[in-house]
Amino acid sequence: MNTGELLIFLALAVPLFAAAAIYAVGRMPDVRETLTIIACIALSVITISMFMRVGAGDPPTLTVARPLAGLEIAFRLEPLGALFALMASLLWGVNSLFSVGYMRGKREANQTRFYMCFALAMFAVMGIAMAANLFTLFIFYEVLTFSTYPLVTHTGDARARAAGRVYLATLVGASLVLFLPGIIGVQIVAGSTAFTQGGLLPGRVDATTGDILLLLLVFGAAKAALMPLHGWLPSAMVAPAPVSALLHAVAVVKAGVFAILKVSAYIFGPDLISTLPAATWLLWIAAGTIVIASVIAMTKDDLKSRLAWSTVGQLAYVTSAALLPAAAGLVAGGLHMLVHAFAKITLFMCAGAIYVATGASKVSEMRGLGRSMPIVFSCFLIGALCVIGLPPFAGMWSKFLLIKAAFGTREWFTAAAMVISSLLGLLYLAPVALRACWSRLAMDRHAPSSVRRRARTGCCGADDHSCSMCRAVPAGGWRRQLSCANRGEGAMSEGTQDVAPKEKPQLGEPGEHPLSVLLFSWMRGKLFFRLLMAGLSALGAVLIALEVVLSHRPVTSLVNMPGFFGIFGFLAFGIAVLSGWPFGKLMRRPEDYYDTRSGEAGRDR
Amino acid sequence: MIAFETLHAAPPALTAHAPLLMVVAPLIAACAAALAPSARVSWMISVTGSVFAAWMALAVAGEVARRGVVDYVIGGFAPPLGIALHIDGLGVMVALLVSSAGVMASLYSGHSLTTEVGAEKHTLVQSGFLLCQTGLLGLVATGDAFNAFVFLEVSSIGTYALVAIGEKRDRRALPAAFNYLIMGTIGATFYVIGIGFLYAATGTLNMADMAARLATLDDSSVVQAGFAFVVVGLGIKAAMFPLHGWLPGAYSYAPSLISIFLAATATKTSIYLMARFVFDVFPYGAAFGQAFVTWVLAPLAATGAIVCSLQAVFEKEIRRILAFSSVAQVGFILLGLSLATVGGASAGLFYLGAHALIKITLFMALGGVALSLGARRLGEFAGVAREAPWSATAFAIGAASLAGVPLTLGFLAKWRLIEAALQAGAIWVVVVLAIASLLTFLYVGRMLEAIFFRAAPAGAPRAREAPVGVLAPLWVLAGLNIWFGLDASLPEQLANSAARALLGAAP
Amino acid sequence: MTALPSSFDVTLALDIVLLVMLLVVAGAVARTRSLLAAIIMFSVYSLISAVWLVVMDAPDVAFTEAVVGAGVSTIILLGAILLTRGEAERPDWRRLIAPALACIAVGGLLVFAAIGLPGLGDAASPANAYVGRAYLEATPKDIGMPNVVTAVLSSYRSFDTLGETTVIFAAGVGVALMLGFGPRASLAPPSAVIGDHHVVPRVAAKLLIPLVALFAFYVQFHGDLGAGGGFQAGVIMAAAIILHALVFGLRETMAAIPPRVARSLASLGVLLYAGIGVICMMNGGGFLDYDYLFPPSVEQQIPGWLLGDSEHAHHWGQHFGIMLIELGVLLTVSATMVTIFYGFGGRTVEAARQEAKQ
Repeated sequence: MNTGELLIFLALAVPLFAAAAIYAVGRMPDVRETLTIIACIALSVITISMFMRVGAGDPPTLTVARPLAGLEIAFRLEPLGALFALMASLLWGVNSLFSVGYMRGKREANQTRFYMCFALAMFAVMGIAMAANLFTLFIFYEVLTFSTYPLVTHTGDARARAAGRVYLATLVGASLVLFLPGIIGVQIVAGSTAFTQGGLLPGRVDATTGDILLLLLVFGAAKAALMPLHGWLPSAMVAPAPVSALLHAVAVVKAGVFAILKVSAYIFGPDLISTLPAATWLLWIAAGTIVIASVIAMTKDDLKSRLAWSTVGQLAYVTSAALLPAAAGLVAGGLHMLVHAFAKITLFMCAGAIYVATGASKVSEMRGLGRSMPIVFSCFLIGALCVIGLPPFAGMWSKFLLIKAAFGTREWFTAAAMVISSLLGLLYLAPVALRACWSRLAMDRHAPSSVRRRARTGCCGADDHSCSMCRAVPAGGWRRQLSCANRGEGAMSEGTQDVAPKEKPQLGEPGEHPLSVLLFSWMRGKLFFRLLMAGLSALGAVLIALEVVLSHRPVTSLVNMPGFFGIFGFLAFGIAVLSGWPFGKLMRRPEDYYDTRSGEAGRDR
Repeated sequence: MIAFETLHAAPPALTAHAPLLMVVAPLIAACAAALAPSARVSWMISVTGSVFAAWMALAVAGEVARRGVVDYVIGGFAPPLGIALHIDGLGVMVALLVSSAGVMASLYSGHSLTTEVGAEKHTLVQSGFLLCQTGLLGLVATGDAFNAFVFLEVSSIGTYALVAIGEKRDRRALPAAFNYLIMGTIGATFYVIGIGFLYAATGTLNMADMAARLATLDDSSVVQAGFAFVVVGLGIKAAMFPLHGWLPGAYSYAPSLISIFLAATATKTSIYLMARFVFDVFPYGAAFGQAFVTWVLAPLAATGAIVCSLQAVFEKEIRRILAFSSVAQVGFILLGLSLATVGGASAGLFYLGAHALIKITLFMALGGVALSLGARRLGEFAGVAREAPWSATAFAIGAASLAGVPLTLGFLAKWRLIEAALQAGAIWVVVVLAIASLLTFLYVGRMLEAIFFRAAPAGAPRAREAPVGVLAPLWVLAGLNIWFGLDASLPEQLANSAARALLGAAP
Repeated sequence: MTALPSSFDVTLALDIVLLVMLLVVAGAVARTRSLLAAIIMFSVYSLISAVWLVVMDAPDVAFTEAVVGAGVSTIILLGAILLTRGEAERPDWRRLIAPALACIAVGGLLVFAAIGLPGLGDAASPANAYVGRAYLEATPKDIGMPNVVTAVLSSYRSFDTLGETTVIFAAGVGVALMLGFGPRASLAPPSAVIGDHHVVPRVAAKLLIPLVALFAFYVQFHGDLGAGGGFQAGVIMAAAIILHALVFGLRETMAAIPPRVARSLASLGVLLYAGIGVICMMNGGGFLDYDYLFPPSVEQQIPGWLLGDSEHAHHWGQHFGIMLIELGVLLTVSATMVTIFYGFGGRTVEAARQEAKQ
């Protein structure tokens, strides 16, 4: 076993061993968390040295098992995977530090399970990053799904379990129904699923088969949250903040777009992609996802939810990049994946810190908090600007490359969608931080009492401080204590406190900084939203109309029908979304439904 | 790869008689168990008989790998006058399956019976269990159509009684057993009527001989009716979709020993026999045979896979979930077979083996926990993972395998099935498989959620971890699920040679 | 069809009459709500079919049908209805639709098949021309036994017969498992009421039982030559024992043949049968190859004139083998019948109540 193989082995073994060790020492929290941190550091060292070795000599390969003839569980180091592994392991370290503070601060239950599943998820990520073929990638992709399920349902209440169900059902459903047949299709067509430089499939498929496989594989990687398979991501918001960070930045969604990048680069190859009509359809869907997700994000008051929708949009950037018929797209996609990971983890950690410190989870509750939590909100602003893509932050470069690639391949709609979405991002992300800093502290009656009280005491600091302080408070935590205190105070001072006042609507919210009012209040009105929706509808109509004019690559004779692509896209999209509803209902049903009617047990003939 | 060609499991003197000893050993053990003075002795006899049968099955496997087919003439009269055992790749696979399931179940029975059945009945229960095993192994080994009926009856009658004694724990076992008895008897009767017609048409009962003579016959109404009766009869026994009504009750209310053994073997052997008839005995080229596979078998299998998975999703009792799941999985297996390609048959048979392993794991894990808990409903299993982590983990492994989670055998089984369907160009089969897998996933998720992620309600009876005697075979099975998930060359090899034996030179 | 038109007519007429009777009785069974009547009519049904089987030249089957169908199973069913009500509920007609449709479909399929069936007794039909003829030709040479049916059942297809014996054993195990344990009421009339009317059956039974047993042995050993064999003899033997129980009380019979002994005998029968097979195997032959029943050393001791001419060599093995396995069958069948009877017998309502109380 040479050094390269040893590194691959270690990258897999360290998190797996860490998971086992964490389980074993679960009763001793300090040891457990030390172990986690040590594992993070070890893994980071390993991935860094892997990253250094990439490109030097033959890529090291490690074959673990051959379950069936022609199928291998094998790993190979290549640049994109090394990048992903590096990113994930570094972020795991950061996130673990944050988790220690967050989990202790909130006195969460089942912490051992949390850390263990986290380590398992990292094991899966390493497997995905280094997979030498689609089969291996699929295996670890599924391992990732299952190891993160306990994390998503961590709080264990009904909402969390419902979210967990949606999470599992969407991800596993897509991978069973779409991804797996796609992979098997590749196996049958090409006799192998190995990731090959320049693409495995070119020369082996006709256009129709290629289309079908591309659709199966791209939609099958539901972790990439391409609409209409995005529903799981916002609903997984019930999980604690470190888990959200894991989902959005470290591992899960990144595994989805990584899979798409790999499929695009090493299975299809840019040349084949450029000839497939399905790639164009998918680009449209991705463009739609980008815009729609951004618009929805604007309507969300819950900060984590807003961030989640933002993630949906940003992921579609990477998906678009993977599907652009140019190698430049892949580079841009890889970079955006990395940049977005760092930016989003910042945002989520800020959200978590705010929540731990003040209990505020809604954007409307955060007005003025910036004055007492300046560091956190500064970080938030930086992350937001990075996601939006403003200079001098890293997001600028990835967006620049992305839009350039889109222009370069004449995919105008994609380019337009990216630009529009960036502008929208400016509207829904930046104000969170700005308003928090510039508004006067909300002394009015809108903000929940606990926040107000919390902010007034002025003991808000950076996240680590607040965590340590929270730990000093006996069970029940800050929030409850504060709200109790406040209720008492409220009863003493004025009785009408909790009654929502009937003020006349005014520009901006009371106590808001004038600049903030000036900059952002116009988009808060209903009129603006209506206009926006109308604009989007008009855009859609124009696009459909354009279809009549612009001709596309012919696939079948049907294509010659005027407006075929527009109608087809609209119908397909509508059907896909609508068909999700009954399924979602099934998933969200109350979980005690089978305990309710007890008289039916003896129904058997 | 395991080189079966060089496998000499038994001394030559035994190997020469291995096909027969495989069947007769449990039979003699059954008689001995009935005569045994105490429960303990009967258990030992049961284990010895099962192990011996499994040993002989291994010896046969070596012989089949070397010679392709093993024929064993009984009574010194060659067929068609006499009866001969006829074991090919397919038979070996199912025989290994049945006999190893027998070993596992008999090991398990030492502990389970003491809590589930009155002590005075143990000797007879072991005897009945061994008779079941005899019947199933005989059914697999024989090359004679009527002899197959006799063994079908041996196993069925043993099973009826064993299902019914679940009565002590649950009165619903009695109607379930009665239902099973009626349906099973109808199935067996249909089968024997069909054999009667075939005998009238061909004048022979030996399957190979019958096949040779049927190939020269025109499609007479007798042959067609015989085919219909045989297939419907075996369809009932195999719990093929609309004929599966007996199965959930029989699996759910029987003592756990019996559900374990039945779940792994009973429907499988009937599927085996049906496959033998559809593909081997009847000339597959015959129009009605092909039409049956295309227009009856495949659609029914697909419907069964989906409908019964749905039923499992909405079922409340955990063993009934598994039972409905079994019916659905029978649909998967038959879908694979109905592709009528070597790849499809191989995938279907691979699935057959995988499903047997999965279900025996699940039922054994469940049985081990339920021994102390006495629970049936899903809600009553809440939080069991805390009290019985080993059983619960083994259950989770089995369940993951059932759902087709990667790194388990079940995943590879699904993979092969989808691959075969795609290769045969049957896209609709892929769609059905995908939907049914999704539903499988749903009910597996429900079970695991209850066991692992829910806290036990206050005041609920607490489960105890299963005794070591149960855990040992259980973890062997769970380990096999994982092991074969990493290296499935053994089952793949068996399934491939079985499929070749079944379809031979057919497309 | 046979050449003689007159005999043909008689057979046909008999067939028609008997089948019509069967139909009528079957219809009556389906219609009646009285379980007692249904059981009696079932018994009648069995008798008629036994007669019909005789007409069809299948006396072996007729034997079994008469004893099992008309005799033993009637008694067992009567024992069973003691535990339930005597009337069956009339089912909702809607629940009858599906079974009726299924019956019609099956009947249609049978008729469809019958179109293609060769005529009854057609010598050219595959069943008669192929293996059937081969059995007739080979039996004198292979087995040396006049009754070909017994030769086929006990030697050519002895593995089937082993299986069938096992089925019976399995049924016994099943009934013993479900019903074999628990309290029993003696079927004997209370001693206080022993009156005149019990004397007659007692005396008659005392006379009858030895005769019935003797007949059983006759059937057993006559199997080589004519209709008969272990199955029939076993059932007749069981009938004798059951008759004893009916007249003298279950307790008396159980004292003579305890349930445990009956169960053991049943398993011993199968063991004997399988054991013969294993002995043949150990002597170098195949399983159940009676030609190897005696090891060569024993075989040499048999004087040459007993072995017969070269064409009929080795028949001793066949004869002894068949005799022994038939003995095994006799044991299993009679013991199982008795076990089943024990299972049902005496489970009166009072006894069941007592069990429920415990």
